[in-house]
Amino acid sequence: MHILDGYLKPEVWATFDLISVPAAGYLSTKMKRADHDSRIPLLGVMGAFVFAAQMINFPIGFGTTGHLLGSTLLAVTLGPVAAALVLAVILGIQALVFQDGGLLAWGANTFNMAFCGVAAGYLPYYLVGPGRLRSISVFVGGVLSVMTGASLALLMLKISGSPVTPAVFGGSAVVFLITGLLEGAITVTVFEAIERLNPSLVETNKHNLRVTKRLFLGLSIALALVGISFASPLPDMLQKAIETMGIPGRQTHLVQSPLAGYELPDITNLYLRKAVAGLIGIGLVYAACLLLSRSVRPRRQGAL
Amino acid sequence: MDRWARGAGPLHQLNPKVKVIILLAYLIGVSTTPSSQLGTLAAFAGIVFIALVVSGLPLFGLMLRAAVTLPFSVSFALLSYVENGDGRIAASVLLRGQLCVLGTLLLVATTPLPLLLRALESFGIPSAMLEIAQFIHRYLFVIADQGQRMRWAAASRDAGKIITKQSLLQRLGGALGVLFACSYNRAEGIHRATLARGPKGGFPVLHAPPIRKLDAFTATCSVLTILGVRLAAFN
Repeated sequence: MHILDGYLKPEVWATFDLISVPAAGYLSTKMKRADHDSRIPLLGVMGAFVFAAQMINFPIGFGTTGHLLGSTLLAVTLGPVAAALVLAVILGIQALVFQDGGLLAWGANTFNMAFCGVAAGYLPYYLVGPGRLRSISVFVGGVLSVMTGASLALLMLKISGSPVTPAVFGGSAVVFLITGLLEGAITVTVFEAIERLNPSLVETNKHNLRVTKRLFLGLSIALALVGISFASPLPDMLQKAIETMGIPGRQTHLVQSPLAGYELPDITNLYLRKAVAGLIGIGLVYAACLLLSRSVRPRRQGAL
Repeated sequence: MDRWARGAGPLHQLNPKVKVIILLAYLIGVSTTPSSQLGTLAAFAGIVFIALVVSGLPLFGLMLRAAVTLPFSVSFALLSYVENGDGRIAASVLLRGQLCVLGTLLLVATTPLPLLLRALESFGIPSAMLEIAQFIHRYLFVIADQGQRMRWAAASRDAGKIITKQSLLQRLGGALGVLFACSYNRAEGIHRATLARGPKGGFPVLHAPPIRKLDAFTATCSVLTILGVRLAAFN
């Protein structure tokens, strides 16, 4: 799942470096402001713990071994912001010292695993909140974090023109699912063990969303995920289907979107064009998410 | 890796900032080379080989370290051969990945991590991230050793018998949970000790190597060479 240098197109890694570097900077200033530096040693030692846990391999049958990846575990113990920051640093060390992922591809890997992976791993825990279903939410988070990070990595390789054929995609999806299920299972057992040892180590989400709002939030996120997963392979498949049915030259667009094919019309430089279109797309998605979260946030009476 | 980084070869004495700049130029050069230009990649391979020889590091050991990524690169190259049917493209896919790995390896094998982090700090990477990286580097092996001792203890209790898969998972979860709590306590102890000493923040490094004329000269020459190789378009 770690993308190495030399496999992504320059416009892809450059775009994600441009996203991830400022985002990591923002997270670290936020961290410093909130905790007055006191959590830096804690974050470092917990990062070392994740490294050490990744070294402990255990047999899972068929002669292969598995190990904990840790993004969900960190998110439910340290909180999502700290977890994303620690994972971003871990990815940097892995790229430098362990040849696990590339240096230029750091932005892409951080986006996949530290930002999106942690978000996907923390979301079920956040939505379910304290209660009987919490262990299940941790398990689902573990599965989701692996699947999200891995499929985003595959998507990036595909955009970069790598030979990710449907057969490769299917095969990898099975591997990722198994890895994800394992990650979920280990995360849950470790989470429960930590809770038995010292309940104060587990991050408690103090938010108090109403059930309907929770449902609405979960539904909208699920819809967005389904939409994205359909939107990415659909144009290719449609085009192929049309071509194989022998109707050349009559390709119809179902919906004419303003960023069709992720390209803007007037900029001549191809690299720049794609990068700019990608950034605008991400900005639009960000704005949509911001609006959604504003409308969903519980309003308190009096001063906020 | 740490042992290699403490050497005294000509690349070790180069300023870390200069080395980071050269590596970035090299990585950008290699990864923007299109697959059709196998000659350019071969020239980059020549550059990195010269650097390897100059560094005075054990050549075989470094190659072995770089071979960690071979399973991934080889399978990727094979896939691209199956897809395109062009051996040259497959070869350049393999070469590009491995060249990037070798270049990064060369930087880390000739620069101790504290000096490297300090160099990165001057490039504007947030100090919080670098401090976290330093703590990870410092405590990684402490915690890994603790995990190993717990493993030995468990093995000597049950003589290595594994009863069922379920119990294995639960035992592993319990062990990792204990390790987690121990690490947490250790971190709190470290924090209290730091506070007791009076925190200054940033990185205490004994000496910051200055940028000499030789460093500036090497940086200019290397970046120009890389630029030249990239633009020359050998085929």
